[in-house]
Amino acid sequence: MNRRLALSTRRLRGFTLLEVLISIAILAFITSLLFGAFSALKRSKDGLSRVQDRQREGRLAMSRITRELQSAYVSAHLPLNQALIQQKTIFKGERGTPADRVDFTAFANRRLERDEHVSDQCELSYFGSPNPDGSGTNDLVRRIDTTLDLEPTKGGRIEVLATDIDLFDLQYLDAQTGQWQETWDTSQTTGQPDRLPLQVRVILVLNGGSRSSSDSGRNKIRLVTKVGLHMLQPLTFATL
Amino acid sequence: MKHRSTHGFTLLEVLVAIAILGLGLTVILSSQTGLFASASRGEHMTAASNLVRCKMSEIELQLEQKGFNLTDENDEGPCCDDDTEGYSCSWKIERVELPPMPDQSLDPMAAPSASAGGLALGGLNGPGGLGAPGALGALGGPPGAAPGGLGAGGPLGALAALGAGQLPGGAAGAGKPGGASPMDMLGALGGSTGGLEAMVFGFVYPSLKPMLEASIRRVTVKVSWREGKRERDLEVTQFLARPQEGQLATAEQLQLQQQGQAVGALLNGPGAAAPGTPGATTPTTGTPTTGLVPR
Repeated sequence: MNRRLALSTRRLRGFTLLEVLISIAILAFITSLLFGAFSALKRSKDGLSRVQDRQREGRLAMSRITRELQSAYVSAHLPLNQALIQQKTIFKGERGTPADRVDFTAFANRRLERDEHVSDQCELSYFGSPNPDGSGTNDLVRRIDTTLDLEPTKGGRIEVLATDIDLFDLQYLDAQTGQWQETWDTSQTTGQPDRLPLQVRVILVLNGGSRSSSDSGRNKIRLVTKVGLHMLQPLTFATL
Repeated sequence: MKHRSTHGFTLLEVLVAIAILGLGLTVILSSQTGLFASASRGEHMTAASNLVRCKMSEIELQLEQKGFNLTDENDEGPCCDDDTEGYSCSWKIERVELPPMPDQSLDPMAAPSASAGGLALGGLNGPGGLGAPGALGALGGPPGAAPGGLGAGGPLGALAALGAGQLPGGAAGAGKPGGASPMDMLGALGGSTGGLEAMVFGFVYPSLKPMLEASIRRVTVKVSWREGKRERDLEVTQFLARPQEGQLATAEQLQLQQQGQAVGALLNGPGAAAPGTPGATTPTTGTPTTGLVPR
């Protein structure tokens, strides 16, 4: 009995206070390291998804703008009696800061409902607009009006294409001069009354390309492309 | 045994435990670097796809204005005029090599159109008489084109009418006597299923082949950038067609088009036609490829 007790004394004694303290300290150290690693993981994941969101906004805006610009047209179909004019088609680009403005008519409307009473013709605009939440940022917005009328720059509904833009710049290649123009106007005789630009250069710069939320102004997402237009002449029935 | 259990861990046990821990942490952290890599890949891809479109537009414009070169071009430079640091473009403009005259019984070029448009022609694979192709033209064409097909006389005219019926752009050729312009041949090509059509195609193709090859260019644009140590790129290929390069747009058609534009200019002045639905313009570019690949 005595011998057995003596043998197992050390086992039954448990840990000393020092042992427990040391083990807790080591455990705490390892836990804090792991926590630090995982919180860094989460931070960078948040940062990445923020950047990805901005990239997606830019990508979608660019693909939409290029697709719709490609189907821009102006029509030369006008009634003989000027009083009977129901609708006008234009292609008009103006300078602005931070965003240029472009208004045009295009075969770009997508019918979303069956038997909807709209065609694929629409009035479109892209322009900058201050963010209504008062943060002082600018958004790139798109206006679409599926009814052609006498005011091709007004009406319809407005939706946001990309938030917090730094620059939206459009340039137009004139087929006659071979020069890039900052403005374009088919509605004025002093502008380009009888033709559309051969190509349009689109530059979209978005703020917030940085992974950390604090220095969102520094890193910018810059997207540049050129898009060729197809219907360069005003449409008439007589054109073969 | 009890004695041994008071000894704590052996060095080997500790080493194995540390190794397992290290392995687990490596897996977790490597998934993290994969996240970074794919995020930066996505960013570069976004920019590159816009740049590749930009360069392709520049090349399209250059070819449209200056015409095709007889030799292949292979060049590199900045992608989009300026501000494309980190990205460089290389591009190729190559001639295409069309396949030689295919076997008449197993015509791969006509195969896609055979299923679509040639069903009614199945009985005519044999050596049809002169009268049969005429009837064929009347059958294959739309109601408006049928008189032209009948009046055309020879089998060539009938074939032209047949092709014109299937190609919206070729409808102008249906009324011409003889109808033997290259464009109409192309139209016939689209509808050929074998037999007599393939025979005619066999006559025409050797002379058409260089014309087609002269009017088609294959353009490849490659945007490359560095991602860390790795070189990445995005490559896009497209075919451009200019019928006038191979004299495929005849003087007659060009004249017709000019007349159309003149009438259009007249209409632009006073403004005559009804508002609303604009007419479709058919530029000369693209028509021969339509002939090769109907629909």
